[in-house]
Amino acid sequence: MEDKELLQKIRNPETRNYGFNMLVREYQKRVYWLVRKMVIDHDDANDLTQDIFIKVHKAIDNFREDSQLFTWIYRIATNECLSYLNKKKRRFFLPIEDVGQQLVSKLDTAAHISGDDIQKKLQKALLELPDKQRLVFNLKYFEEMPYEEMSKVTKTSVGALKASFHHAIKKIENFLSND
Amino acid sequence: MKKLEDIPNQNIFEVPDGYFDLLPHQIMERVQRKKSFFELPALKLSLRYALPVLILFLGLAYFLTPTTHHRPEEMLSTISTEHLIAYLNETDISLNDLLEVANLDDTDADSLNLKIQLKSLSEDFSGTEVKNELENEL
Repeated sequence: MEDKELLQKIRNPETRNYGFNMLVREYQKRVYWLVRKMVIDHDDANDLTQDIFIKVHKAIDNFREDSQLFTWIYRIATNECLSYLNKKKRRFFLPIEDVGQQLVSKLDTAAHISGDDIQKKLQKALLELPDKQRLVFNLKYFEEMPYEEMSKVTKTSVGALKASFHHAIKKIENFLSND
Repeated sequence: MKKLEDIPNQNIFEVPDGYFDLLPHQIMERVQRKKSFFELPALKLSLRYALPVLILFLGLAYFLTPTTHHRPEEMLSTISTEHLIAYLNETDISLNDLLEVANLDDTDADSLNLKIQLKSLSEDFSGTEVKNELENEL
C-alpha cells in the first residue's frame, strides 16, 4: 500500500485502525532492526519498537507530509533510541563505558544473536563509538541509507554525516587490528 | 590493519519465530487500550463536567476557608501591653532600634514627642502646672 493511501485510511475514523495496522506491518521490520542494532537486546528492542509506534500513532495527525512517511517514522525511531540510551546511562548513574560494557556482555550472553567471532567483534567495535556516531554508521553501513535521507532523519548536514561515517570506519578498523 | 571491507556485511541479530506476525497485534492492543481508557463514557463525562466543578469547588474552598495564619498585627493585639513591655525590657533591642523599624511619619513623631513631654511634665509638676504647660504647648 502506498504511503498516501495509508495516510488516507488513517485519517478516516472508519478505517483508522486498519490503516494504522497496515502502517505497522509496512515499517515494523525496518524500525525494529534499527532499534535492535542500537540496544542489542531483543526484549529492549521489542519494548522500544512498540513505544515508537505508539508515539507514531499519537503524532500521526500532526504529520504534515513535508517529508516521506518513512523518513518521519525513522526520525521518531532514532530520537527514541538515543534518548533511551541516554536515560539508561542516567538511571543507573553509570559512566558511558559501563553502559557500553553492559551492551558488550549482552552480545555474548543475550538470546537471538548468531554470527561468527569476527561479526561479534565488529559489533563490539561499534559499541566503542558514541551513540550518535554508531547510529550514523548503522544507517549507512547496514541500511545503506543515502546521506541525503540520513540528513533528513538525523537533522545533521550531509558533510557532517560523511565525516562522522569515515571517522567511525577508522575507529572500527583500529579496534579490529588492536583487539 | 584489518579492513572493514574484509568483513561480510551481515545481520547477526535474530528474532523469535513468528515475532513480526505478533508485533502488530501487540501494538494495536496497546493503542486500543490507551484509546479506550480515555474514551470510557463515564470517564469522558467526568472529565467534561466533574473536573471543572472540582476546580471551582477547590477555588471556593480556598477563598472561603478562614486562614489559620494571622497577620502579625492581629497576633500582637492578643498580647497584653504589660507582657510586651516586659519582653522588650528583657531583650537587647534599644529604643533607637525600635524607632528605626517603626516607620513613623511626622504626625506619629509629633504625637510621640507630646506624650514624652507630658510624661516628663507629670513627673516634675503637679496637676495644675501640667495643665498650664499643656495649654501653653497647644
